[in-house]
Amino acid sequence: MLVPAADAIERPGKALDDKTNMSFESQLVRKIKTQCNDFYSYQGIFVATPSGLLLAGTHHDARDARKVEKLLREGLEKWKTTSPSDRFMTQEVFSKAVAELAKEEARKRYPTGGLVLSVICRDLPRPDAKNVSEVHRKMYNQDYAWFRKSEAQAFLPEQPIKGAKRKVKRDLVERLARFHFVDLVRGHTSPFPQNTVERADLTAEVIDVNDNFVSLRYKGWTQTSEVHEGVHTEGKWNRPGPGIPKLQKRGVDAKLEGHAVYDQKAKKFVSFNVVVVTKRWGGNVYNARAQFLDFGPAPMGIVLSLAGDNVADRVPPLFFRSYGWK
Amino acid sequence: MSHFVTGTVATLLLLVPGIGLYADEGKPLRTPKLSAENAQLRDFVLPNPSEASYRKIPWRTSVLQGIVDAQKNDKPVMIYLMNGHPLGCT
Repeated sequence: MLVPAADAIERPGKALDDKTNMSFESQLVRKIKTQCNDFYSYQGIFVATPSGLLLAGTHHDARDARKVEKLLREGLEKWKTTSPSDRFMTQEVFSKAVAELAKEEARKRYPTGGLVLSVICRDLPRPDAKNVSEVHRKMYNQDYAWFRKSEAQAFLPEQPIKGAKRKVKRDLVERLARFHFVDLVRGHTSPFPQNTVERADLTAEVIDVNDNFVSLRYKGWTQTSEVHEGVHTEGKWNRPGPGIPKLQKRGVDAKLEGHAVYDQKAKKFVSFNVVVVTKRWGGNVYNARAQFLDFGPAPMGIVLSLAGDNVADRVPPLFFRSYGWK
Repeated sequence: MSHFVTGTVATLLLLVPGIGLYADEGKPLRTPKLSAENAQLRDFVLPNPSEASYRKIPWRTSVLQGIVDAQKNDKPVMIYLMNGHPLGCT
């Protein structure tokens, strides 16, 4: 019927909506979007021909399944009446697209053979839940945490014998605290700077060894805490206003507990389940805390588990650019 | 109802120490005993099958991949574009 593609507007260099981005992909997206609406935001759902002719699109209704269905049907109907010459790129343009795609694929940093975790966060039940709308109560968000193969080894003791323990290297635990134990339940916020990490402890203990498999327990505690420096920062600190405290703070106090199984023969984790119970405080407009003055402290749960291996599970972490990978 | 049953079975399996999926014959791999609420919290936080149903769609993870595949397959492309990747953190 149609080819579904999901993507982020942001790019490591210039974003797709940056008018100075001269990539084939960006120019095509801008061409499609400008046929749809005049909104500043490029967020939305668009049905288009490979040549970049808009068939249907919306900026508003991405969360309404029925409206999206209607939009897709509208797009498919227009497709039927579009001539082949209008539908497709010329061979020359297509070759350009294929070449750019190959370059993009070569740039991907997915840590093959490493540890790729799915990170799911959701608000936990709280005493003042009646003040929270049902939509917000049900919200959750998803991200991925990446560890290269050499880094994954640091998540288990060097000698995997029963009773052996190892403190996971601090920089790896800091990666979790700064980029993944962040209040992203309702939207985006900034990662925590390194100097805001007050605690980053995680211990791995071998519970059992059987054939190639090592059973591990994880227990840990991280803390991040940041105080407003007096300057409004979009997406991080709020403008002064009613209900906005003069001294803005944000942070996450996270307790980790879980288990994993490592396959020594395959040299990879085959199971990983860590539950993170956090207390989070602070918030801004982008993560939809400021509008509701929902600055906490309030409980938030995070679950770390092994990510799948299909293309949808290879999406880079939100703050990947801050990982500092060369 | 089916989600309740699935979640309950998963919770029971996680709560019982000593049941290991990775095991030699007759010698199960021991797993640690975790706090009582660990499995309950895990079930609460993870998306239920309905919430995760969008992941069954055979997404291409970039506009460019979608456009190229659409041209190859003589089909239109549906582009879902967000600040933050819709299949990751959006």
